[in-house]
Amino acid sequence: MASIQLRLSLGDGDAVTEARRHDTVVGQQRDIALIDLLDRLLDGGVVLAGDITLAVADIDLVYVGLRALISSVAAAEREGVALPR
Amino acid sequence: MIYLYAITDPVRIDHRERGLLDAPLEVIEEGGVGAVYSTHTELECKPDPDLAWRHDRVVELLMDQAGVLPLRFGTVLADTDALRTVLRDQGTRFRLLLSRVRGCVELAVRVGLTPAPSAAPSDGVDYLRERLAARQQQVDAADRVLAPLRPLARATAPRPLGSRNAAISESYLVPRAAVEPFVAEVRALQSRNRSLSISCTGPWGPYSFVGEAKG
Repeated sequence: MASIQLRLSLGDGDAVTEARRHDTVVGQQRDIALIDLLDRLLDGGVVLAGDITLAVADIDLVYVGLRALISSVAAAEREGVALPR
Repeated sequence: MIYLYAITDPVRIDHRERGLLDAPLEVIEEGGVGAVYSTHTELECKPDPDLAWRHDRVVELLMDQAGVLPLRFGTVLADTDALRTVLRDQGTRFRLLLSRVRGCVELAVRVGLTPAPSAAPSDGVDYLRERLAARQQQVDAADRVLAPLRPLARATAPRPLGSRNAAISESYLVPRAAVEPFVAEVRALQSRNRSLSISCTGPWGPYSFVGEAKG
């Protein structure tokens, strides 16, 4: 089954068609998809408890980075930055 | 060591597909439940975008075939013996979760909040009180915006991003047949709420619906 094309609607209410895969996502839409990806991968998913140790470094730094990225995308939308179509 | 991508219904692996660092994908099965992994001698699991997208790409291609429980990024086990032990010990839990998510995908919806207009505060306490009230109004407005989406999903889960963020985000577990109407409703919501920024990404594996206490 092919990846579903979803419309990412940003700011001015006009829809922009984007595929989810990161190699076809451009500009700020890529940022939003990346935020959603990292949020899910780092804070979601099955967690195996016990003797299994998550081998991920610098999670706190990633969360700081995520928040900064979300703020910057939101700020750009508020300022009416022209978004790629 | 082995890097774990997902617990699944029994699946076939296309050995041309690659996992992290282009390692070949492998699968084992135990008690009617599969597990997809790759073998590595060295692996630094920094959450960098390329590794993250590759992990997710594996989840995505498995999702097309079968029920999938994506693993959190960075799950590494010593070897397949350890993996078989996990599958035996937690088989009941995994089979239950698979029955919940089978046939569904996750869609992520985000509503951007506009900043509250700032009135001149009389003092610090009043300022905080006003900010909290304004924030609560925005949260309630976003909730109302998202309310029509909830009946279209099998389950919903908030994705809290911290109170300092400008967005409300929520995940929806949606049967594949319901994805088109769901996306149509997102577009309709954006048309009705032109002052808000609504974004929808997906389809994702059901990352938000495989934790301990989710429905």
